[in-house]
Amino acid sequence: MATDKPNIMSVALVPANPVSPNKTKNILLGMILGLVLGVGVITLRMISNDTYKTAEDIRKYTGLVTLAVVPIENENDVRKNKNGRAVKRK
Amino acid sequence: MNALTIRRFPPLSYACSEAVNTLCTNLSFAGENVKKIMITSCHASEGKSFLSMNIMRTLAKLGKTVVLVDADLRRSMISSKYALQFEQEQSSGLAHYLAGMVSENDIVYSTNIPGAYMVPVDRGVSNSLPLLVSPHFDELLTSLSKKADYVIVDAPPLGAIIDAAEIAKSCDGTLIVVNYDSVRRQELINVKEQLEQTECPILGTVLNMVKFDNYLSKKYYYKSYYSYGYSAYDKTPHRGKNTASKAKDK
Repeated sequence: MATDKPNIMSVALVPANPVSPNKTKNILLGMILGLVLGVGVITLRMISNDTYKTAEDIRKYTGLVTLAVVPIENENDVRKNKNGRAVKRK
Repeated sequence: MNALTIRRFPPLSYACSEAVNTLCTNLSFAGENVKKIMITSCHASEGKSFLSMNIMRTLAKLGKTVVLVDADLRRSMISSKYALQFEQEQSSGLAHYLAGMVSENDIVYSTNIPGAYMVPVDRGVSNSLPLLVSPHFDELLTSLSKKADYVIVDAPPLGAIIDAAEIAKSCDGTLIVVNYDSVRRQELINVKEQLEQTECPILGTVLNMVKFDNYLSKKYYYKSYYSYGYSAYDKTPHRGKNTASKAKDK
């Protein structure tokens, strides 16, 4: 059986830019994901942090009066907080 | 009377000494019958000894007679932190008295601060509860309160060991030291409930080691600004009454 010789109908165009990975899309996606994750972690930590920070907190949750609020004494006092990290307190 | 010297007791910054003054004034409002005051907290190292020592110094400066009883028999830090130097080689402390080895006169020491007396621990014991339960402890506090205007009892943290609840039974009131941003909500409530069972009234709390520059503590902004304006007093001594009296303690 005889067939026609194959011939070129049109020449395929080679794209100038790669189709994938789409840089702009990925960067944008990464930024949004990073933002959401960052905000999420901060929110979670703030919600789970129920330590007393003001005299008002103490009054609200225990009903006790605060007789004095003493500021931190040593300016270069390096202390460890509850996470075990050394924090330089000013 | 035996004597001891407090060798390391730096004067407070302006803001801190103001806060301790406020505390001492508020304590005097608690009533004439409140003489034996216990200081406790939820955790270790929240500043109980720091406050006890400074309350003692401030009250003594106001012309009161104060006795500081160090009742943290297991892990007392006062001796090393404030570099107490005993006049005698053979010193005895609260543990010796509670064990019935010495009398009251042997454990009350006069200090280099006029009007301030101390009962140190000297030697820590691992099992302190039986000693505190003994009637000797109550006798000591009652006897001291008759002689002095104030008896400050530096107790162990109630969140960790039960000793403070036993001590509270012999006291007229308690102060709870709360460290800024480190005590969880329920922990303080537990300590409060434990103290309520002892029927010793809770005079109040002291919020300690507050960082004024934290964004969450905007409420304190005015106060920090105020103390900032007076910080010049800290750096240039011999200006004003406040620093003159502080310098004496050095």
